[in-house]
Amino acid sequence: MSEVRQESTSSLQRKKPPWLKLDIHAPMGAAVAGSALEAPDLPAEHQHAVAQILRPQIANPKYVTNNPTLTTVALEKPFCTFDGSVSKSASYEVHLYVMVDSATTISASVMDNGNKSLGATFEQTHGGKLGPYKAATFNVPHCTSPPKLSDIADVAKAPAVLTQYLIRVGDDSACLYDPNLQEACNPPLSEDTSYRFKFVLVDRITDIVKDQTLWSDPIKTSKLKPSSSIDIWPGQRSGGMIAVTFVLSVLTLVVAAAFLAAL
Amino acid sequence: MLMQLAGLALYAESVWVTADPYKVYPILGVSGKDDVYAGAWISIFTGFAFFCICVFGIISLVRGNRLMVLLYLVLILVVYLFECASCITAYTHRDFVVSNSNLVTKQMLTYYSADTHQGRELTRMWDRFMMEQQCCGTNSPMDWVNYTSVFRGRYPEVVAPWPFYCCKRDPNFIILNEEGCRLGHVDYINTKGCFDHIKHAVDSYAWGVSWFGFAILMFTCPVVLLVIYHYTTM
Repeated sequence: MSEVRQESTSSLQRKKPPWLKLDIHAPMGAAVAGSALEAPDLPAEHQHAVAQILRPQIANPKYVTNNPTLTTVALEKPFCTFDGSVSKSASYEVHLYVMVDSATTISASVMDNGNKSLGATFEQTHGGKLGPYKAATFNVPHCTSPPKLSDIADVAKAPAVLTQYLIRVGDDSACLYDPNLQEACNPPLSEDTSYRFKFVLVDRITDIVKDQTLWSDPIKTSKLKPSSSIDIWPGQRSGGMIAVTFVLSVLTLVVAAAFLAAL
Repeated sequence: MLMQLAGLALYAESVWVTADPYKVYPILGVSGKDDVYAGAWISIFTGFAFFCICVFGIISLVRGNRLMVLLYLVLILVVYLFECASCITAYTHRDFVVSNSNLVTKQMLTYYSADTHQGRELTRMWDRFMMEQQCCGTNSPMDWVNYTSVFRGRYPEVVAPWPFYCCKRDPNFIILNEEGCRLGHVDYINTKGCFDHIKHAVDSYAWGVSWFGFAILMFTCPVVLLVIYHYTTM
């Protein structure tokens, strides 16, 4: 987690707030740098430059130790990613799209013909197998006042910081069975499957896609090992046990021999 | 005379072990191998027998009766053998249970929250350990996540990746932050495994029964040899 490396990666990193820069782990920094290299040289006036070469990132493992789990993936919310595309007059929200990783994912679009965002659900896409589905909708995170991660240790502030910082894909185990559900359903993912994620900036009123990130690198949900596979053989005997057995056997022999001799 | 005292001490020690102050019996009982306790029961018996036989031995030596000394020798030899067995059993069993954490892990995954008598007993024990020792799982909370288990089959992972007894609690035993615990945030979950505590408990039993018994046997050996020598000169 050297700061030097972070400094040298890319100027894009500096657009992130300082707390993100410090806490980014190495692979994440590398991924961002890689995507920056791949991206064509965009003209300075191009407003979408930042978001379109960034990818959604998995939450910092220092704070979220159990990630990805069997059925959930916790992602960092896109802080400052959409800054260039937000105009003051309109109100926006961010949609999160999820798709099972496959050869066609990179090119999969989350817009329909009228540039509106797709409304596909988990069920319609068979859990993301057929195409991206909308998993969640949330407000655009504040770039100016990002949550302080050190505040998580404070019990009073923790719930707020966690919701501001994280979006947990697969968080809602009940929504599939809720007939009155209006919003996007975010049911548990399948285990041992690679998923890709994408954040999309959408105009709240017209539902038109203003900006989007790249599809994330594939993130694989974990897999259970059968507990019957645990080998319980104790392996090598400890020296103490050998010593005890040996010395006691010898002593017993000596005593018994002496006793027999005395008879 | 010294042997009498040693016998009494062994007796007391073994009573301590069988009373199980650390309450780890379910771990050993469920595995069907509670030999540390078997060892302890045997040494209760032998400790007391040492005491009685030594009284008998002293009387017989004072009287100078050859037959009584012979009887004393035979009895003490039998007790000696039993005590050896108890010593070795306890130590071997300790190796079996806590030389590495696999046995305890597997047992935890197979029985925790299972709806059987053994399951309930083991669940109670683990819940208490995790609360009191502020630990989680055998090696770490990830035990619950990496392996299939009865617990995993009963509770969806989204809601409870691990038992809520793993969550850090305030002095009133109220969970500090459920969401943080679910995500595995280090400030809200006990990251330490419980294996150290279990190992410590089983170790101290085995040490009590085994090494203490061993020391007494080491001491008894020359005494018995002396008595045998005395017997031949009588």
